[in-house]
Formats: sequence, structure tokens, C-alpha cells
Amino acid sequence: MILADLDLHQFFENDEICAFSIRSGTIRNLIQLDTPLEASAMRLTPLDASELNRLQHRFGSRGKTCGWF
Amino acid sequence: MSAWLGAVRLRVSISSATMIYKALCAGRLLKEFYPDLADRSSRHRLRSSISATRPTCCRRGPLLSLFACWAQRRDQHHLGNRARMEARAATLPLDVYPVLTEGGSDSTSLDEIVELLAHNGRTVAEAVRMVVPPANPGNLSSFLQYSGDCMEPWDGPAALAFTDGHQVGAILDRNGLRPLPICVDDQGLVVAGSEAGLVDMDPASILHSGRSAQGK
Repeated sequence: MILADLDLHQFFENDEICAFSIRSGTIRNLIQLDTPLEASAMRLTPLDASELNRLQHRFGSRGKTCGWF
Repeated sequence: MSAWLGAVRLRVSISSATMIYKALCAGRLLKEFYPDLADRSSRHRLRSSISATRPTCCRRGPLLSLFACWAQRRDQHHLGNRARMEARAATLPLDVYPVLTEGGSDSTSLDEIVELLAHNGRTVAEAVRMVVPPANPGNLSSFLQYSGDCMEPWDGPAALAFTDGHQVGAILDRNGLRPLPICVDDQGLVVAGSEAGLVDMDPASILHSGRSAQGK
């Protein structure tokens, strides 16, 4: 990746853009918004193949499995 | 800004930072199509242009809609990325719906995702790096580690150029399906394209030339 930042008047190449993002604190701010995961007390059992297929049927398609769409 | 053409939503960028010109003509004719491009009194910090032969666009009118911050080459299947994003969309606020235009091309989808990320706390370069991480990053930086948990790599357009008016850049896709030769001359002109020799340049004025690697 090559990148020219016209506000900073700087030219970045490849990993420099990642390093710049880390230095600028953007990532730190985003990480602070994260909710840490906690171990669940629920005991999960493996799903059999037919149940797994049923749950994944049309996964992500519009108006079929998810009321949001 | 968006408008509806029948059942199809057309999106047009009305930005204070960028102005997009698009025409079905050869690139060299663009300044005749838009006379203000040839006006020497006009001032701009950058110009980013894409010239492509897109028979699919010619056949499908809605694909002529303007990309907000994206120029691209090559189509590929991207249905897996769309399905994952549609599943993830349930966690997003309703006012960003629809995240993806139904029936949109791979470049349209990628443009919409980059725009969504870039309008929510990231620069356009960070958004592009999130969706197109390097194929072989070596030591993972904290940026790539964090963004890898947020978004899977997107496949689709190959050689990419982007700008939001403040940053302008180019990147090659993770599969390296196209070469992306890059030339920089002593006047600050950067030429990156899918073929070498797109722009006639004096060899004596070239400071750097090379090609980009996969995802870089």
C-alpha cells in the first residue's frame, strides 16, 4: 500500500500506515470500547451434523432466517 | 446523497472534500466532457483517476453509480464477504441500513464497507487496510491483530485506488491477481496502474519505480 496524507504532508508505505495508526492512538481508543469476554458457565455439547446444517441453512440471506432484513 | 431509479438505489458523493467526475469516454476526453477540468484557474490538492473497460458496467446501468471513495479493477465473487457482512449487520444501528446495496457488484460492496468504516472513527487508509490486510504479514502488528478480529479480509477488486480528499493511496489485492507497477517522478507525480507505461514519463525524472506485492 502506498499512501499520501495531504493533511500531514507525509508519504506512507505498507506497514508504516499501521505503525502510524498505532502511534496516533486510534487503535487504543477502539480497544477501550471493547467489552471483555467472560467465560460462560454454560456447558456446551457438540452439535450433530444435521442440526448444524439446519442452523446454517440460508445463513445471512435476506428475510429468511433473520428478522433484521 | 442517494436517489432511487426504480428499485435500485444510486449513490452520489456530495462531499466537501472530494468531487467525482465520471463518464463513459476515453480518459483523454474527460476534460472535454467536463470543461472545468481543463480550466487552469481551478485548484485542487489531488486528482485520482481510474480508466477501465467495463463491459459489465455498460450493460448494467446501476453500476454506473459513482463510488464514494473507490476506484477499482476486476470483478470476482465476493458472496461470502457479503453474507458475513449481512449477518453482522444485525449488530449495527438501524440508521446505517442497508449496509450493502442489494445486487451490488464486488466493488460497490467494498466501497460501501470502506465508507462505513471510514465514517466511524477510522481513516480511509485504516479502513482499506482492515479489509485488505497483507497476505503474508510476517509479524502481526497490533493494528492487524485488532482489525483481524473485527473484519475478515475481503476478496474482489484487484488493483485498488482510493481517496477521501485527505488521503490518497493504492493497494494490490491479497491474491496479487494483477501487477501494480508504481512510478514516482521528481515532480511528485505518482503513477500506479495495472499496466506499466500508462503515462509517458521521462526516464531521467523517475525517482522510484517498482511493483506492489500481494496485499501491499
